[in-house]
Amino acid sequence: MEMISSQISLGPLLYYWPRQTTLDFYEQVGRSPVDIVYLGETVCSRRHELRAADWLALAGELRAAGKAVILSSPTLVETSTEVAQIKRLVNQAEFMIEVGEVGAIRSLAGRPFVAGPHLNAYHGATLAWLAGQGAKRFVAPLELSQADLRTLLTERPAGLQAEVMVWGRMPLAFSARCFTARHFHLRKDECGFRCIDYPDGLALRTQEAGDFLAINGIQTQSAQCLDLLEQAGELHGMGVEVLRVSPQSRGTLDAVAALHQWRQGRAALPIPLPAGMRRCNGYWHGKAGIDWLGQEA
Amino acid sequence: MLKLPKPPALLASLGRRLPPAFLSLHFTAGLLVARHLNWLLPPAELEGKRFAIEVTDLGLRCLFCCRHGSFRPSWDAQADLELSASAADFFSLLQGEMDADTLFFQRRLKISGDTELGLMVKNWLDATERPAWLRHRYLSD
Amino acid sequence: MELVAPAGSLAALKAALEAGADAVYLGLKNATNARNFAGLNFSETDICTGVEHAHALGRKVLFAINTFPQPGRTQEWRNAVDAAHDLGADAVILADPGLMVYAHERYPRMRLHLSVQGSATHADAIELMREQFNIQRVVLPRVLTLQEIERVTRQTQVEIEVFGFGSLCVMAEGRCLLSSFATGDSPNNKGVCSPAHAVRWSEIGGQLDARLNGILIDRYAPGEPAAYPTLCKGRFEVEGRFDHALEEPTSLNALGLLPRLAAMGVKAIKVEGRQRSPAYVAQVIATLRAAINAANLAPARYVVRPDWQASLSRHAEGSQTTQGAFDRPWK
Repeated sequence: MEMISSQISLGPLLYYWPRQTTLDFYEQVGRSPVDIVYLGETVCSRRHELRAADWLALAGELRAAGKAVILSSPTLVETSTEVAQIKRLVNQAEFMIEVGEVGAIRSLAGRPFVAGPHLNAYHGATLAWLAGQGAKRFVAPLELSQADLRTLLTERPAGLQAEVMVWGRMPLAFSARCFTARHFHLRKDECGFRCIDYPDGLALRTQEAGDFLAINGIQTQSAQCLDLLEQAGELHGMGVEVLRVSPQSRGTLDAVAALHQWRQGRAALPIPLPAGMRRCNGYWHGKAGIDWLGQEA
Repeated sequence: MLKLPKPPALLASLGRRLPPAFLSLHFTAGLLVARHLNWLLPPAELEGKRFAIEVTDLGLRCLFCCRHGSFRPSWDAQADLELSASAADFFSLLQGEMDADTLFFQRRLKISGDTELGLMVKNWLDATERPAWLRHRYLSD
Repeated sequence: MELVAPAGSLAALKAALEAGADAVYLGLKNATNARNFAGLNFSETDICTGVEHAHALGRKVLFAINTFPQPGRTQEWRNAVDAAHDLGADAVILADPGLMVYAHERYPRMRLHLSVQGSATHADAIELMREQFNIQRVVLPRVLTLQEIERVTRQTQVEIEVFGFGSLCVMAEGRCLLSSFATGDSPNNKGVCSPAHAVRWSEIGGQLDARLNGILIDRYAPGEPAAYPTLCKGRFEVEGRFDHALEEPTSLNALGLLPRLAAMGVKAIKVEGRQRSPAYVAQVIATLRAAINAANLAPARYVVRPDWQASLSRHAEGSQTTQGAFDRPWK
């Protein structure tokens, strides 16, 4: 039986889960077939159920469990406190960093890093520049179609690994403003951390009750769960080394298990999604990201 | 704000009674005169498209199309793009005094049909320099 | 402070210069710039005329090539950089590091501005671009507060340009995929947001529906002022409440902050709206020109004149203006 070399990664937790829920989740991750774990708070610097030291401790435990651990830096950086957080993150030498925005690259000063999905690496010249700065792997922009991804992979410099997100709600936009706080008529700085009550974000529907987006603090996500699990074989064939699963409250480790079964040549089991969540894969087909082309689950 | 007198009720009711094709003939004749004066040269993207202009307070609806770079009346009841506004608002739009966006946001200009074609027409009208006799001084106030 | 005006056509460029703009920014009729709308933008011949016209008046033309080169199509973006150089543009406004590499190596003496689409929100990001590509100016994202702008201005030697008037992007620019999520086309991949080809208006019994690729973005009662269905500005349902869940369709208006921005060392004030008409450009630029002149002349005695506000409000999207993120009432 042929074993497939694709690696499975778990993206950073984008939601604000209670401390024990988070620790329990990563405890399971440690026992799962995930190869690479991205850790850290990338969305909101006010969230504090786990502090920097807690994330580092967790990183140590997951490494001891055999995982390759990478610490993710924030995606939108505005305040001097946030800039200081990045510097602290970069100054630890134990774990590699996934860069969330371009400023962190300067602090890294040539040390190896993973270029995150929001760095807009759409063509070979930008990949080459990132590799020149120290990038060892890049996460492809979410909106690329299969055809464009294939072209991009032919343009990448030698030695730069490619990672593609295949499962989970897609992070689509970032704002200075917190939409969860806005929904509750609260100020951002006195938000009451209401996002802790929404383990998969707050559903935003059209006036006709159509599923559209999910609000996660300053981040806006797809209401639908991206599902490219069926495309794992094609992604592998195109030369993508790492497949990323993004944590949701339900189904995450089932998605990981499905990928693991696929790479062992075994049939995958169906994956339970969080209640009411549908799937999407439109970007892959060169269409609107919200679309789902394929069989209904 | 530009102030035009309200059209006399007689003219408005006359407009409603005249056959649309007759009105379109006069309307396109006006557009052709403008084209010959060299300030309304339709871009290639408008070729073959059918338009309807409805002047709400006059009760007028003109249908025309753009063929071989010139405007002709159309007897086709269907249009690719339909614009509807008052005479005064259409006039200020033609003068370049009011912005189509502003009129639209205030619900004074209605657009239906192909929105991209509408944007094309808007951008074309915006980009067209007005002859001196039509121009409203942008900075009059 | 320099006043930088949008130009979506030669008519708008002339109107901007006539109204007192120090510089205009423009782009080609293709996906290399972030206002790739039907019937808008410049042919190379138009740019040539525009550059001549601006230079004759001692003003500048800034050439926006601020989208991200798509896989396999790098050459289209490089051609745009070549065109900017050959047509005599005074600077290019770029967002993509890969394209900056080309511009900097091929034309080392060409002035590079980092576009707002480049999403440089703090001094490290800006300084990295300076060290790497010798950028001369950065356009700051509209998400920053006055305090943050002041700090960034102190921490970098790159000239700072900020938005002073126009539609607001509530999301960090250059990193928003909402439009392609709903329609397939985004600012990054096509130079458009909520593109017109995906928009359908339908009015039944006075109720106006605005849809984007079939998705209901907003619904207006008879006579209620409408807005373009930019999807982050629509009205949606969250936990049973119908409202502008993300952002109200307001306009940014920094008229009241001009002396403070000048005192911080901000070098240029930018007006949004290449998609708007020459009438809009002329009136907004004339107003800001008068205000900047007043702020330069006697900053301590600067007051916003009611007629300036009235003139700007008239053109504001959603008919209301705010100081936006500058003073963040919601923070």
